[in-house]
Amino acid sequence: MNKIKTERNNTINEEVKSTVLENGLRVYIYPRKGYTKKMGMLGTVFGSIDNEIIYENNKVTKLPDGIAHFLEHKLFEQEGANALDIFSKMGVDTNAYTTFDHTVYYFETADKYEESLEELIEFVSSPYFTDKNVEKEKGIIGQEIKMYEDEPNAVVYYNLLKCLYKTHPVNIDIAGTIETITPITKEILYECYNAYYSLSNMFLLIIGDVNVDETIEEVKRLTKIYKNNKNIKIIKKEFIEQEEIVKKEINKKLEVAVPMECIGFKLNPYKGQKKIKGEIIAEIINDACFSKSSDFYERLYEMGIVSSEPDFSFEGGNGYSYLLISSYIIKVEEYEKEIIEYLEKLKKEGIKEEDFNRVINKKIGDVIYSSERMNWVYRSIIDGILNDTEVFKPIQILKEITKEDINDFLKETIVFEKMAISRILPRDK
Amino acid sequence: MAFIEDIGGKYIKMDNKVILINDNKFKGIFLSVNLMRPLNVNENSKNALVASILKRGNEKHLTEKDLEERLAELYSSKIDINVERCGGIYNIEFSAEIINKKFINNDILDEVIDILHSVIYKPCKQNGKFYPEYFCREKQNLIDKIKEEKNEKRKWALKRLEQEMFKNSDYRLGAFGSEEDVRKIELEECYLHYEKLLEEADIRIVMVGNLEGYDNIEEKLTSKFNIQGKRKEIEKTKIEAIKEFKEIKEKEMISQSVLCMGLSLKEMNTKDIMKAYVYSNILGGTPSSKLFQNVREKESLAYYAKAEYIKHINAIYVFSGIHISNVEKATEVIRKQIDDIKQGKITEEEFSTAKANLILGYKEITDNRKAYSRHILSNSLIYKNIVDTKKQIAEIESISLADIISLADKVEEKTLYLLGGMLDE
Repeated sequence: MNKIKTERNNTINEEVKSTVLENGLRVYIYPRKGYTKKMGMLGTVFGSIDNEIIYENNKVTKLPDGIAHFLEHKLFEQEGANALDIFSKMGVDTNAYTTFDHTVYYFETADKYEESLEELIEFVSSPYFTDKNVEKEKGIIGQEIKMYEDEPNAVVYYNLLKCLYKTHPVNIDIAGTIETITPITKEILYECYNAYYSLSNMFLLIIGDVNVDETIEEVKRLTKIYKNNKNIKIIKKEFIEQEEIVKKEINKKLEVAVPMECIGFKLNPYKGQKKIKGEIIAEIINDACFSKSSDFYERLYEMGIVSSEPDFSFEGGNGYSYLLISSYIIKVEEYEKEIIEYLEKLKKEGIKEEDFNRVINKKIGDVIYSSERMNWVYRSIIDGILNDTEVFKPIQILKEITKEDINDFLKETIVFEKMAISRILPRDK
Repeated sequence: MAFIEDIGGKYIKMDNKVILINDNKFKGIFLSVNLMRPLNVNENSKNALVASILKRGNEKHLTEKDLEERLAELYSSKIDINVERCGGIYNIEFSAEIINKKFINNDILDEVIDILHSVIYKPCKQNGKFYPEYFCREKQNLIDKIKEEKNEKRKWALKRLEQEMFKNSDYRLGAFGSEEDVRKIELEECYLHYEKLLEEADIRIVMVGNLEGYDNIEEKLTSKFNIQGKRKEIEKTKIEAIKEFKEIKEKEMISQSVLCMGLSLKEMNTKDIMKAYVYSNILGGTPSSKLFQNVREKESLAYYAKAEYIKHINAIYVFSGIHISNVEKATEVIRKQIDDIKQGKITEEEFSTAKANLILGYKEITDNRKAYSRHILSNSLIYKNIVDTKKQIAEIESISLADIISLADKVEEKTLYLLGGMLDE
C-alpha cells in the first residue's frame, strides 16, 4: 500500500491527498463534495523551454523550438482513432495545453469519470506518429501561430521576453515559428516522447467528488499498462543567462485602436519557496498599489492616461524570473513617466500600513473564492509539484507576510537598469 | 413559496421576480439585481454610460476608490455592473459577491446589500444631475472601450458580421452602442434616462449560494430593491435578420483571415431551442463536429472552425481562422457541411456526441454560482418561468435525428463576412 499524504487547510476548508506510485507517478486528489464536474489531468514536466534532451551518458539531442507544443497536438492521434473524438463521443470535454515548463492533457466530465480516466492514461500512453499525420499537423499549427501573431496580448508579452532574455529559451514563443516546426519529423517526436513521457517525470491530478482510495487503486491498475516503461533518465538543463537585459524597448505596430504595453524587470532566478513568496508579494503589491483602490490608479484614470488598471505580477520558472506590469494605455508617454516615478517612490518609501492591512484581508477573501474554482485548484497543485512545495503552502505564506517583506522585495526587484518595455501601437493611418 | 428540487441544490421561487437558489457547497454568495428594458438601439449607449457612472461613486462611497477600499476590507466582496443584450432585452446587471459568514465569522451580507442598493439608487449628484466630472470621464472611457473592441480580431469579425446581419434591427449594435451615439449624450439627458430606467425597468433578482443561516432574505431583497410596484412584465423587441443574403469582404493589416457566416433560424418556437443547440453542436460545437473534422482535421485549413447558437436571437455564428488563399475552399467546405445536415447526412456518432456534449454543459452549470444564476435568469426570459436544468437535460435526451433534419430546413445563410489578412497575401 502506498502511503497517502493528506494536506489540509482550514482557511478554505479543503484538503488534498497525494501519493507517489512505485512507477514514480505523482498522484494528487482534491475531493470537492457536492460538485458535478470531475476533472482529470495527466501532465509531464516538459515544456517549450526544454530545448534539449540530456541523457545520463551526457549524449545531447537538440530539439526544434515548438516541439513540446507540437507533441501535445499529435499525442491525441491514435492508430485508427483520435482521442478528441473518443472523448467527445463519450460526452466528455478534453483538451491539453503547453506552457514554458510543463504540458498537461485533461478531461472534464459529469458522469463518465472512470471511463475518462482510463482513456486519458491510455491515449497519453499510445503515441502514433506517421509522416502523413505529422505533415497534416503543420498546417493546423501554422494557423495557430498566425492567430497569435494577430493577438496583441501575445505579441506584447513575447516581445518583452525577447528584450529581457538573450539565450534562455523563454524568449521564444511556446508554439515556435513556422520555420522551426517545418523540419519536425515523427522520429524526433518519438525520441522526445520516450525521454519526457515516462511516469517518473509525470503527474496525475483528480479534482472532483471522487473516492480517494478507489481512485488510487484504479490509477495503479491503469498505469501498469502504460507503454512507455523504458524509464529513460534525463538530466534537467541548467540555463545560463546573462544578468543584463538584451534591449531596453521594442515597439510593434499592429491593427489595434488602443495601445498596450508590458514593462518587465529581469531578476535573478527565484526558486522553490522564495518563488512562491515572490508571487504572493507581487499580488499584494498589485492590489495595494495598482488596483482600483489605489491612489495611483485613481489619479491616472482621472487624467485619462489609462482606461483600466495595470496588472502587476511576478513570473518565473526554471532559470528565469521577472516582474511584469501590463496595461492598456490611452496616453503612452504620460503613462511611462508616471509609472516610473511611482515605482521609484514605492522602492524608496514602501507601501503604506493601512494599504497593507486592507489587502491582507482582501487576499484571504480571494483565496476562499479561488478555492472553489477548478483552475485555481489545479494551478496550485501543479505549482506545488514544479516548486517542490506543499499545495497549500502559499496560503500559509500569505498569512505570515509582513509589510517589511513587501518593502524588501520592492528594493530588491525594482532595478531600472534591468527594465525593458514592449509596446503595441496602432498603425499610422 | 414553492420548492423545486434540482441537481445539486434547490430553488426557492417567488413570482419570477426574486429567485433564490440554495446550494450548500458554495463558499460565496452571488447576488444580481437586473434592470431590464426592451432593446432599443438608441438607448444602448445611454444605458452603458449610466452603468459606468453609477460605479464611480454613491452617497455612501463618494469615489470608486472609497468603494473598492471598503469592499477589500469586507474580505474581497465584489460589486460589479455589467451591461448585455439578451436578444430583444437590454439588461443592466448589478451584482455582488460575498463570502459566506461561515468562513469568516463575520456576517457582511447586509452591508454589501446596502452598498449595492446605494450604487443603484443613490448616485453622487450635483444640481439634480450626475457629477459632471464623472459624466465626462465615463463618456470618454466608454468611447475608449468601444475602440478597444477592435483589438481582438476574432471578436471584431463577429461583431462586424452581427452589424451586417442585423442591419435593420435593434440588434445591430453591441451593448455599448456606437462611438457616435456616446458623443451625442448630454449630462441632463443622461440623468433623465437614469430616472426613467429606475421608473420603468423590469427588475429581477437572483441569489445563489449557501443561504442556510441567513434569515428573511426574500423580504429584505423585495423591500430593499423596490420590486413590489405595479411594473408590467417586460416586452421583448422583435429581432430580425436581413431578408436577402449578403456578402461583405473587408481587409486589415493582419496575419490571419477570419471567415464568419451568420445563419438565421426562421419560425422558431421555444420547443426548437434545444434542437438548435444540438444542430449547432453537430455542425461545429465539438471535436467530432463536421467543421472540426473537415475544415481542420481533413483539410488542414484552420486551427479553429466553430459554430455557436445564440438562443435569444435564433442565430448561429460560424467562424474560422484561415489563410487568405483558402477563403473559397473553406467557404465551400463549410457550406457543404450545412448542406449535408440538411440532407440528413448525419452519422449516429455525430448526433449522439452533439447531444452528450450539450448535456455535459447543462450538468456543469450548477457548479458555478454566476453561470447558474445567469442561466436561470436567461431561461426565465424565454420560458416565462423557472426552468431547471434537469428538465432541459430530459428535453435534450428526447430529441431525435428526425427533429434535427426538420430543424435544418429552418436554417438560412444570411451573411458571409470576411476580415481578410493583408499581411498574408
